[in-house]
Amino acid sequence: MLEVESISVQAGPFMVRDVSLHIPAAACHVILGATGSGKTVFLESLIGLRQPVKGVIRINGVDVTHAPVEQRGVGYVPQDLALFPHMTARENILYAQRVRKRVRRDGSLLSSLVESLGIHHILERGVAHLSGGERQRVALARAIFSGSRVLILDEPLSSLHEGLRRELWFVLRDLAQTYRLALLVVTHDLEEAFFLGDEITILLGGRIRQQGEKADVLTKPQSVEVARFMGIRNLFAMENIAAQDDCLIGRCPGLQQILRIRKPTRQSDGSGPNVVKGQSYVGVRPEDVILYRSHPPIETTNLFQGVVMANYETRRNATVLIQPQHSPLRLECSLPMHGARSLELARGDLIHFRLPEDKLFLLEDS
Amino acid sequence: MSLTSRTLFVGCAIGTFSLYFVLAASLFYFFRTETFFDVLWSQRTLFTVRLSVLAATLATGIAILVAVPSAYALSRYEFPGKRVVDTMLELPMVVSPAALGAMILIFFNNPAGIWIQEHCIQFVFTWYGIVLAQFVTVCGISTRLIKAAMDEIPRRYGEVARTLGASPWTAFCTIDLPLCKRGILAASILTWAKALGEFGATILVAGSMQQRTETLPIAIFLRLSSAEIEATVVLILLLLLIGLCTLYAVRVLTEGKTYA
Repeated sequence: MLEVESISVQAGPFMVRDVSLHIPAAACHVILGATGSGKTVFLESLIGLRQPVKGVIRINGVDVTHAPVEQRGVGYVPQDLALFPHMTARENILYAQRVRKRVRRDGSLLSSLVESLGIHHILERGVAHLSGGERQRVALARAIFSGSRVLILDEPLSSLHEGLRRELWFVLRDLAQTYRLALLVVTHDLEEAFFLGDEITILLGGRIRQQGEKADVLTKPQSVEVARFMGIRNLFAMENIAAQDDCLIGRCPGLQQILRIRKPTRQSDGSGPNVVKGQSYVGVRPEDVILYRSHPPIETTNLFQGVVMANYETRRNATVLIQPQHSPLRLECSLPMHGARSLELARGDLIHFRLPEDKLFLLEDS
Repeated sequence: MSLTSRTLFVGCAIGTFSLYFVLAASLFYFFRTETFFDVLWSQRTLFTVRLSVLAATLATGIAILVAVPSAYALSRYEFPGKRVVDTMLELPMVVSPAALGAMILIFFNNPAGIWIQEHCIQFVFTWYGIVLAQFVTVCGISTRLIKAAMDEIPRRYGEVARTLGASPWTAFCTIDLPLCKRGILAASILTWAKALGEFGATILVAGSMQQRTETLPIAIFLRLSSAEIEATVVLILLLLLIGLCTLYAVRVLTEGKTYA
């Protein structure tokens, strides 16, 4: 439905380079990136507010790269929603019908949208009298009612509290399915990205750093930069890496240990690190580190000892900081609350931890 | 903030108010009720008021018609020479109205100006000259005021309107214009008041002919010149009343409405 081929956009001295993506109907593609990474500049080129310096944008197979904004058929929900403050919720939703020359009176779409979004009772209210969640719903209804089947959402939920945000995640997924929408969502919230996205693009410094199915992006970051962006702090330099059967064996000077890593497989898009020569980095997600109160009964690889330095409980899980023996590094481990409580961890406790070889990933030195 | 500095600042504010209050109050030293109504309802004053209101309304109308699109362009678009145009709009605020009036007179002594006078409209020493002088004086100011109102409206509204199918013109008419209508109205009132009180440019272009090109400020000048102090006071009070009503209307219109 939305195809973008090698789009490059200039914004003053900053440039977004060679971004390509494809979003079919009823799918959601998420662009993740830090502030200033070029997400909004890229979106503006899709909407038509900026002309790309190269590349092609197609919607339903039609080249709209140089089409005026109003002729693209791209629905847009900006971060601040931009609901027209001098209109009621109903007038906002019907705006597209009002301004288009060919008046479309699709009453069934309106009533179905109103029902899906649960906004029947607020239609006659002025925008100033809507709550945050109601405003989001009206903005979504307005964009969908315009007839666009490609919907671009620029951090639309960032100003909402968590409960409401989660509720709207479900609403968005439902809308994409019900109305066969191609959703392009920009966010910097990892949880939101992995809930909403079928595919994820990580855009940093104006370039795609990784793109693919969410499971791949989640479990196999391709560079130290991407891993750091995704909040993975367990990144350690590796050296003297050699292949052995289906594994790579290398020395981790920081941990002062030899690590076995399952040989990296290629990503679904064919990218991904091959066997790395010389120094590289090894990473492990905090939730993949396995803790043992005492030595496990069976022999296993990558099993080490460490001291508990801290144990922080958050709403859903516990984060345990471990200092491996003979190492100045700290390893972050995340485990469910009940797991952390059953281990009865306290600062200074000596414990065993395992870094599963199939959960470790090798990263390019960037 | 210490009590001393607070006292100083509040003192300055009250001092400024007192200055204007004393000046206004001193008018009543020459105020006579019987003269007041005689002067107010006199043929000459009624002509003066009618001429002033008509000329100021016309000049304001033309100025707003020019200012709205100009302000929109300056607020929304980038174009070569934008900064120069923006700066030129402030010219009437920093250049004396007398200089502006002299510039108009000099223009009408150039070949282009002479041709306009001979083949189109006779501006110098006529009623049209009053409108022209007032228009030249207030156009830049009204553009500046309307631009300030438009700057307060986020561009995002217009952009979203376009994604919903509105052409740039439709987005302007259905979003930007309604959202800044209060700002435009406030700018119109201020512009009108400024045009009504315009003196320097008007007297140079249109002259000071009694009951022909005699606007309110010119009438004040003429009455004072002929030592009619009590009649002058009546006209000043009339201008003051219009000014206060204007300020109140603007205050009401611009109170507490932001879209950012």
